[in-house]
Amino acid sequence: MKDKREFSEYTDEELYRLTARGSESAFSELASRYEKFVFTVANDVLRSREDAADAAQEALLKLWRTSRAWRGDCTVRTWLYRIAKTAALDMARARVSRASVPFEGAFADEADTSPTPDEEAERRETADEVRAAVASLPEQYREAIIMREFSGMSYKEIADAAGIDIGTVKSRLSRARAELYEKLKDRFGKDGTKDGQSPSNMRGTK
Amino acid sequence: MRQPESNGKERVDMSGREYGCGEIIAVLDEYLDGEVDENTASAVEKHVAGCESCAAALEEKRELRRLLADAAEDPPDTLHDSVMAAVRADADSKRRAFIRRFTSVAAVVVLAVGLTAAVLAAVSSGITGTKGDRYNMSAVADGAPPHHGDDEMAGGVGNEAGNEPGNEPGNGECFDKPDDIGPSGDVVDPDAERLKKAFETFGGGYAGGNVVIIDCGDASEVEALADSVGADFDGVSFVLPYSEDAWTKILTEAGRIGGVLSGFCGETDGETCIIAAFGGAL
Repeated sequence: MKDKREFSEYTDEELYRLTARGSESAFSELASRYEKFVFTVANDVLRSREDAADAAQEALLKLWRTSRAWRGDCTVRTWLYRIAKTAALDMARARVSRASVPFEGAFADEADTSPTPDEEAERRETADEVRAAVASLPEQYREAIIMREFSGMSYKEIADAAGIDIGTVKSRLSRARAELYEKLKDRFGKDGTKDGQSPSNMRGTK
Repeated sequence: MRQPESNGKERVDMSGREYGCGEIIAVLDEYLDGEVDENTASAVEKHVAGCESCAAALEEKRELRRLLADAAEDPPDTLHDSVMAAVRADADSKRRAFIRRFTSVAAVVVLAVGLTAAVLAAVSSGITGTKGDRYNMSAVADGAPPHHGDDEMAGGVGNEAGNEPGNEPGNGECFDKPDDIGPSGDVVDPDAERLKKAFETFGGGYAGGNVVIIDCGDASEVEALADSVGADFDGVSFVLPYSEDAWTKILTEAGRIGGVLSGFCGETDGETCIIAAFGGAL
């Protein structure tokens, strides 16, 4: 009856069920899949790599501890998103109450100060600019874009996690993308997209 | 080839259904998000193959996604290791808590641990204490009373020091079997030393007595079982005072759950107790 697949072939839900039975190695595989996502969610809230890493660790430990509470009524990804968001918000609150860390503008602190004219610097600059654009989105659009682009959550999972319906998910994503495109359009066309028409000019009729 | 009209009203005909650029563009995001059905996906692909302006729109949308993906920051390299260290510490503290409970309470103790089939077979073969007898679940289910084993428990039941390094849980299972236990289905000489070792791997100790193998597949079902006998399941074990009723209930509930709950009746602190375990990848 022994399953001959590798853990990497297991679904998230299978791994999490094994976790509930005490398997640390199944959990290790599951955690590996989502560490970056959890970190991204935390970083979006906390705007500090160090704090985000702490919150990410808290969230993943909580994922481990709550494995028997998960009833399978949402995906593991959605479950984890909620845990991660809560852990980050809790840390943000604790941090603010310590009143020593500035909450706004952490992105400016993280940017490179002296870009050198080489490919890696160009890539970092672009990445910084993209992150700043995402950070400047209104919260609901930002949350939707992070769930979609940084963990591949489906519309249904996003709807569950955010407590909204799928139509709202689509419209938030659409507006987030439109705003991002506007802020970043100078970065487009560098790979040689052809005509000058942008998606926003081509709404068309339905 | 088709010449695109300036107002983007070019049409591509596929199997009687025509799609205008407007319709295609309206679903490009959903297409890239993997939220459209097969028919729509191939309609998009066919249209884009023959329409430069829609192809450009698709490429721009892809480009935005690439920019976002590239901008995601990697967490520090140390994150995974520190998470797993915290997880291990958490699991260890649960096991230590179980050992403390086991050695201090004279009661029925039901463990939730994983045992491989070989250990289950080895444990089961000691069921009546008679050498060479094979496991017979129905005999115990009929309420045969537990009896004390003849072997002395030198050193007491359970070790406060916890698991020995060689017996620590391996990867993928809650607990590993000791090396000297044979493969599943073998009639193992019910040597008390072997059984003792088998139970030491999960922080307990075999004190002789009836052994039953029942293996539940699901922690939530063990929780329900604990509820039904009025005990609290903490994810590792539950404890309750020994009674034949409770023991019978545990056996029959395990049958309903549709599995096998591994366990045994034994002694701790001089009192009879039932120790049962669940789970494990067989």
